[in-house]
Amino acid sequence: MENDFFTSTFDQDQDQTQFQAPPVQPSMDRKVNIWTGRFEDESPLLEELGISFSNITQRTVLVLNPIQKEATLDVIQDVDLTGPVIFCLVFGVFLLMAGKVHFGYIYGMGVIACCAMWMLLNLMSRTGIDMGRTASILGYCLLPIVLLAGLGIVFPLNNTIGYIITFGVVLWCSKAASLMFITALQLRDQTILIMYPAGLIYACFALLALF
Amino acid sequence: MQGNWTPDDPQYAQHGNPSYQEPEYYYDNSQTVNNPYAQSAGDFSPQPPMGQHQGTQDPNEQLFSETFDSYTQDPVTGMAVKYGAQMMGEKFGDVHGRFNLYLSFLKYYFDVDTAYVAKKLSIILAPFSNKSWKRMRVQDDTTGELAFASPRDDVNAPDLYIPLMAFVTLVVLVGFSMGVLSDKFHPEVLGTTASSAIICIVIESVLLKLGFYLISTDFVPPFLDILAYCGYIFVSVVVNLSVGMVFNSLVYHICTIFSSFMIGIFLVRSMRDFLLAPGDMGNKRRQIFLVVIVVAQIFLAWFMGSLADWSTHADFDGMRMREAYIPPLDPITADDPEGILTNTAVL
Repeated sequence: MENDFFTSTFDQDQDQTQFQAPPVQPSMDRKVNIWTGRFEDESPLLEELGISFSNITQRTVLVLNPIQKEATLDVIQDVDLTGPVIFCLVFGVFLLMAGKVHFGYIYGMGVIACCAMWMLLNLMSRTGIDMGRTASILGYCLLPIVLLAGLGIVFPLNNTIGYIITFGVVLWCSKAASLMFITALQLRDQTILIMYPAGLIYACFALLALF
Repeated sequence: MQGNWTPDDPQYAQHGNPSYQEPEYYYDNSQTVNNPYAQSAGDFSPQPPMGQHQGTQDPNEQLFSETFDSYTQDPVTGMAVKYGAQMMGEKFGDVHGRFNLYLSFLKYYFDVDTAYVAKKLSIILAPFSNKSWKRMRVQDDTTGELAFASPRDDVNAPDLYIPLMAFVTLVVLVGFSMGVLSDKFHPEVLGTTASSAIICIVIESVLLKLGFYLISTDFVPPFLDILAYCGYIFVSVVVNLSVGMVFNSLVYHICTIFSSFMIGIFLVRSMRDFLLAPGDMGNKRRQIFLVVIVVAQIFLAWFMGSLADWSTHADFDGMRMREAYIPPLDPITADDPEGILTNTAVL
């Protein structure tokens, strides 16, 4: 068919030969639920994605408990990055509510901190650690800084009391992070040597929240 | 394996020791002949044995050796590369293996423990407390040759952990001082401070290495050793800055001069063994070199302290939006009182 508006490629001669209807019946191997369109024997979506809320809450409680002495190994077993990403986003939103737009800096500092910590841990320990696990541990222990940013919305931190609170929060974060790292890497006599770099990383994030 | 990747001391291992045997897993003939950097190391680069080379030639190792030329001339580092290439490639073959393959030469410099760090910090700030400055040598179990001890066993060994931590502490402290003292904190400050400090140290290390070559000592320390020694100045700069933030600026200047003098003494004493020992002709040149090192530390400490802004605390008028830097507007002329012609794009 031709007209002045467009050139049509619809050709009646080729219509029957080229146009093929898609197969109507589903494959006979797996049963399909016709209401949801998904296969019957698949696991639920969250489980497939690897997000387990119980694990997330377990790790969050571990971080939030400032007098924790040791961590069990199963907490750090699977690499979970959704918690850290959520925490970074909430951190950015809290800073936004305080009048600072620092999303790019959070992302950049997070990436540099993860890479630097990964390299340092691999150089200092006998067994190595992979990047996903470092990012996961560092991200989870960012939670107290997020709370500090939340506090910074209503209470200005730019005074002496604010500095003391920030220092305490940074210590809390780095203690939790070093606890998890030492459990993951089985280091025995290098606690302070792991806590100090973690403390520096969280101090960088705390500077964003502080000023 | 821990603490065995150590640089070799050629004075002991080659020139004076007639029973020195080359280990059989040395790097081979073809690598030294084709390597354009083989001649630049001078007496320090050992000659491989003639004849058939032992062991496999890992292609990754070739790439690695050509990339870092100045410290793969060390015989033990070359051995470490070959050893690591074979063992880690077999065992891991993943990111861990490749990390250990390419970066295992750094493990010597990070093999520290808490006691070493504490002692080293006290030596940097007060070098008179150290009794002996010679680096220990230990018998390497696998090769049987004498090499430098790892930092865990010897407090005089250089490490890269302390300079790295002190560098990041300096960046954080400069950011903190910007916020506390002058209320001009912006996250870009962290980046600019880090870049300035790193470039300062790297240039100083390169110049020092060049100086060592020009003075033509028998033993030129590897580049990472020199980088470690130059990086120790961050510790004193951190101390200066903290003192300056707590007290006033006069105390800061006194502290700077004092601590940079201390670190000059520390550097000179660390390097005196191989710098001044058997030199009769170039003795005056070497003494001048040492004096230049000491004087340079003062300038470096002053420069790095100036990275922090010492202007007085601005009035804090509550929370306000931190904007990016907006350049000042062009002046409004008399013909154009509303500034339309010059300032059309105002954010």
